[in-house]
Amino acid sequence: MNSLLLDLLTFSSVLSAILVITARSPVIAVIFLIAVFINLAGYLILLGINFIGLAYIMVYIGAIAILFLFVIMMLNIRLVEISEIGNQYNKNIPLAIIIASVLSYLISLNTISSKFDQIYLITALFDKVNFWLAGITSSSNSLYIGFNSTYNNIFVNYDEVQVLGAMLYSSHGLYLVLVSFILLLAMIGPIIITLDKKNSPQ
Amino acid sequence: MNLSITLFLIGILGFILNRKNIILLIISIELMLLAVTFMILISSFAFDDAIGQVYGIYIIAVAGAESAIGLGIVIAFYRLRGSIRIK
Repeated sequence: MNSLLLDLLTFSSVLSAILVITARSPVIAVIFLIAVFINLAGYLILLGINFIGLAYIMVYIGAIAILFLFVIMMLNIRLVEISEIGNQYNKNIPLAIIIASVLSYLISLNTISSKFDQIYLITALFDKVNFWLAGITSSSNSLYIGFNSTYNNIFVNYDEVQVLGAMLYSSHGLYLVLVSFILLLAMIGPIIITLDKKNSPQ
Repeated sequence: MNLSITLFLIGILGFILNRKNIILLIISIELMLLAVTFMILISSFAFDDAIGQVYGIYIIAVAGAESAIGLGIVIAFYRLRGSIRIK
């Protein structure tokens, strides 16, 4: 059931990501971007990364996507410009195909091993033998054996937020200060960039 | 992991295909950043290590800063040119 939901969320997130980059109007693109964020947040929450999933919804949808929508509505873009853009869409397709194929080749060179997985075959064979002889089934070919989040809670019952807070505020406190400076820069920078000195009343 | 690689590729393709629309460029950058953060979070979950999630929180803050500065630049560009088209 859980795996089916994860597959469904994967499929719909990829579909909405494709719809983001092919959308004709920027407002539609931002709405599908919100759909991607919701799908990925649901994926994380289903896996067990609850806090970051909720932070995704809060930060990405509540701040970034709303900022995008606000800027798009403030800029008052005409639809004629966008349909002019759509005519030149086909010109970049060869470059896109080249870059995508090279990048996926480079990634698959490192991550996906092309060798046949013999160890898995052997364990699956032993599972079959065990099942025939003794009636014992093992869940070793289940995908979730490496992703079991309840391993943490066997000895000490920590909440996830407790662990994250202990790491954030004790051993990684300097980075927190650094991030606060980055956010301060992100506040001051756009104010100075968009300050209109000629038309201001002073 | 395959999901994040796919999302990153879609972000790069959007960056290449929509080179005339600056808002879609920023949206594609946001999509790529999301894919990278997602890969870090999935890897931290697979290795059962919480430091990846702390790193994810930092990246979320940096993504907010990046989008704020990028949209500020878009508004300044619109004020200079009167249009957001890139020649």
